[in-house]
Amino acid sequence: MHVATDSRAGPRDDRPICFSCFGPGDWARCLDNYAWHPAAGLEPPSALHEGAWHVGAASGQAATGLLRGLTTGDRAVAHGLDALVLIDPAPDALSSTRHLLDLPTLLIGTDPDGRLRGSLAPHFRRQRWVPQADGAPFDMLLRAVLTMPRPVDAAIDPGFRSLMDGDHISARTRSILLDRARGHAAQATVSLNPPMLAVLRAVLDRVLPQADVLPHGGIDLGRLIDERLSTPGDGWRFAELPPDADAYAAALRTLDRAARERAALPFILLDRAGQDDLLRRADAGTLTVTPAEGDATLSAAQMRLWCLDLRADAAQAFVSHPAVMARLGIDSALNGGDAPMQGFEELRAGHHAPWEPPAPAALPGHVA
Amino acid sequence: MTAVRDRRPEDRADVVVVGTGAGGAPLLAELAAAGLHVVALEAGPVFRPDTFTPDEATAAELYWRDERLSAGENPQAFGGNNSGTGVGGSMLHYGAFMPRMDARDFHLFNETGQGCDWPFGAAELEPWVVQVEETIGVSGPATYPWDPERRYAYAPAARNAPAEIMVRAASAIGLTCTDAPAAVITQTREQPHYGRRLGCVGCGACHQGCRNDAKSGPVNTWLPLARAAGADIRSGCMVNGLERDGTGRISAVLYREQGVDRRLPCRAVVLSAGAVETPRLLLHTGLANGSGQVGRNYMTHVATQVWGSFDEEIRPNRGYPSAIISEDMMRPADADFAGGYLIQSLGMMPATWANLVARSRGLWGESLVRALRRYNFSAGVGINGEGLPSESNRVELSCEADASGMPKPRIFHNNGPNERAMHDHAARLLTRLWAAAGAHDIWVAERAAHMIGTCRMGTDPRNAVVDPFGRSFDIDNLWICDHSVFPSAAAANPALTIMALSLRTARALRLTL
Ligand SMILES: Cc1cc2nc3c(=O)[nH]c(=O)nc-3n(C[C@H](O)[C@H](O)[C@H](O)COP(=O)(O)OP(=O)(O)OC[C@H]3O[C@@H](n4cnc5c(N)ncnc54)[C@H](O)[C@@H]3O)c2cc1C
Ligand code: SF4
Repeated sequence: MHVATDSRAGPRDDRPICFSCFGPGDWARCLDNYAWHPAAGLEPPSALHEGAWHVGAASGQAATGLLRGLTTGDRAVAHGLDALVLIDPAPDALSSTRHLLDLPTLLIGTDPDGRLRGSLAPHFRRQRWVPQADGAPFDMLLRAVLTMPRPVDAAIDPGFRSLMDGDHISARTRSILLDRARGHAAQATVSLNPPMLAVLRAVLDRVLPQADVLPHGGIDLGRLIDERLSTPGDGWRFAELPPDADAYAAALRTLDRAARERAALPFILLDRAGQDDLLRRADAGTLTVTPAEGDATLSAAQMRLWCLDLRADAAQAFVSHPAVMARLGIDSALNGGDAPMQGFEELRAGHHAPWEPPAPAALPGHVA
Repeated sequence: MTAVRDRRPEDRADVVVVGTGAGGAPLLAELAAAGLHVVALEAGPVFRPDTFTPDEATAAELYWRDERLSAGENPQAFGGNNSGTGVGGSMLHYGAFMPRMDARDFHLFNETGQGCDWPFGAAELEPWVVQVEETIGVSGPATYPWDPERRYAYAPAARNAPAEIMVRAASAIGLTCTDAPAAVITQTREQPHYGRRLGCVGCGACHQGCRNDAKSGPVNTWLPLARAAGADIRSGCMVNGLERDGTGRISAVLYREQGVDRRLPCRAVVLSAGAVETPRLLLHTGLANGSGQVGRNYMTHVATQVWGSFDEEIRPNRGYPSAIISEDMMRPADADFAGGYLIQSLGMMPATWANLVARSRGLWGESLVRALRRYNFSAGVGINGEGLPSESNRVELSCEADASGMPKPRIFHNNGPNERAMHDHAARLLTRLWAAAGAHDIWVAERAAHMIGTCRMGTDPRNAVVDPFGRSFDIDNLWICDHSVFPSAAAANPALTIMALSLRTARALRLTL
């Protein structure tokens, strides 16, 4: 066990950083390769006091072993860790799992083909990638990772939130909306694997960009759709497509493969124009990829149908989220309490009852 | 393989009714009242009205969830438009728009040389129609412009913003319209054997289930009557087979209840599983298909909608969604198609509307979001129009089985020239209407609604599955009573006609036992 204190600590996170190194080679590499020298601040193990950040570090094989320990529930491995630093981990170290790790993680390694960022990184809820750590930025970077907040959905506007506690909504509807807004601290994705969920999120950012409605951070449509895919669904599918969950996996794989074939990068690392270009082709029914053994992809015609499903799923999930309802002033869920069920008395255009949430002004002109 | 077990050794029925929706429920009440021992087997669960939720994602629990495969050039996006499941069938989430079928629609072939005639006319069905309206409770205007003799027991549902807009715009372009007939009661009613039903409060969530019992359906009308007369209604029972005796008649119904295969001996069976599940069961069992018509002539209604944005808040989720009707287009003078269509004003719940926007407008990115932001300023108007039977439209079995052990149905749907012409006509008219209303950003959604046909009734066993009373030509104790017996789609929304046919079939069936 090695302990380091950081002499250039900022005011908020000036706690010392204490590394636990997994695998004998790792520490040596840290010492050799990094200008910022943990050894400089070595303290005796007794300094493993309450206030320190405990960071697990590993590289290569040892990183894979550490991740396996973390995902197979080996509590002892993760015990007390606040963050991970993984140096040159195998990009496919978690590829057979759906695990989402909560520990803030700094991924270090050159990544010419984007496999580290495209395959491994999506398994971490909070992560940063750097090609190599050198100099002061490493320290700051590590502290930034350590203090990364957990991603949360946009908050529900307080006025709307208090209507949800009022008597114009049924108890069941209230709890459905609260559950939806709360999201899940799930340890795994439900239907898609994390790299494909990352592709889905990137696609959704382009298909349904939320900033105009939720300027201070959006909702996780990808997670909502991933969860939907594991439910019985709505009783139909295009005969030309496989069942919804398989169709999504294959469609996202098709987009990712298309990105790699055309730009030698995973879809999530393409710039917006590149992503839009692929989506436009998919929507037009002209996106083709070379089929590969084992990994199902969709044909151009299937991608066109899937784009319809995707848009429909995204749009529905969006307007069904209470944070969005609040912003748009949609009160369909507030249509009456358990007893009495009030319904709506004010039905006239241009009017709403005093209790109803305000609607932001209409947008002029044509949308397209 | 699980062993097939009788539920109880003495378990048997005079009549087993498969499904408890518009087709099954009225007949169940009639047969029970006639003293027959009737058992209903319903695949879906029991829903309590007070647990319905306007949250659309959750209300999907009311839809038929076993996967259907949508095929053809115009594959139907079922979802919220799909048939329902549960005690009460599709009427748990139906829209309760309740026009009567136009007398001309019974004889469309005779009139135009297209489509298919019914084996009887409007006069034959009218007494049953009136009985249905009285039993369930229907509201409508004091005077119905297209049938001034007609009376409704309840004052119409309150007009919401889309309704007011339609009234205003219709008068501007010279279209007659009035308050819609709706199976929605507008004041408190004591329903026999059920209890108190409250009047409509305009909550707008008819398609998610009415918590107030203002919406009339099997659950608060026919099924309590049936139970009071001794009918046994079993939920969670999925019928997947029919057993025959040495003479070829049905001797028992086979079903799966919580994973256990059961058998219920009976003297007669009525299939009321809807126009997809009824032919699916018959195709799976290979029965009653001497005509080769089972699964054929699948029809839908042309259900074009036009939406637009307004400067004022509309809040289309408020109020009974379809409060205004026009029957002026039942036979438009300038029609280049056979048959006609009804027009209705449209409010809509947000996710249903978002789905429509996403599937119809071809938008994505910022423009999709701009479109969605207009929800509260949007109002719609839509049609329900005749769809013709066609060779290319059918229900057939796929190669994939589901939990019932039966193959999933594949449904072919193509719009023919008549449907396209009607859609174009309606799109033009409604766009003009909405322009007159002052809407901007007007858009058209090409849609189809309802699942119709697939076991048509007729007088000729060579081209019909059942006779004019719903009795199979091939197996004399097998009856069909649901949307699948319709020879033609007719423009009117179907539930009233299905229920009237159900009472009529019940009478005929009773006489055979
Ligand atoms: C969204 C929507 C809105 C509608 N709005 C209107 C409207 O406003 N006005 C109108 O007139 N009509 C409307 N309709 C149409 C109307 O509800 C249907 O046409 C009508 O309910 C069909 O009756 P049915 O008896 O054929 O089938 P259903 O009512 O669908 O009943 C069939 C029942 O059989 C059960 N079942 C199926 N297979 C099996 C099996 N193998 N074993 C046991 N049980 C089985 C199902 O679970 C279901 O409960 C609407 C329909 C939908 C879907
Ligand atoms: S609008 Fe009226 S009929 Fe429809 S669900 Fe609400 S209360 Fe019931």
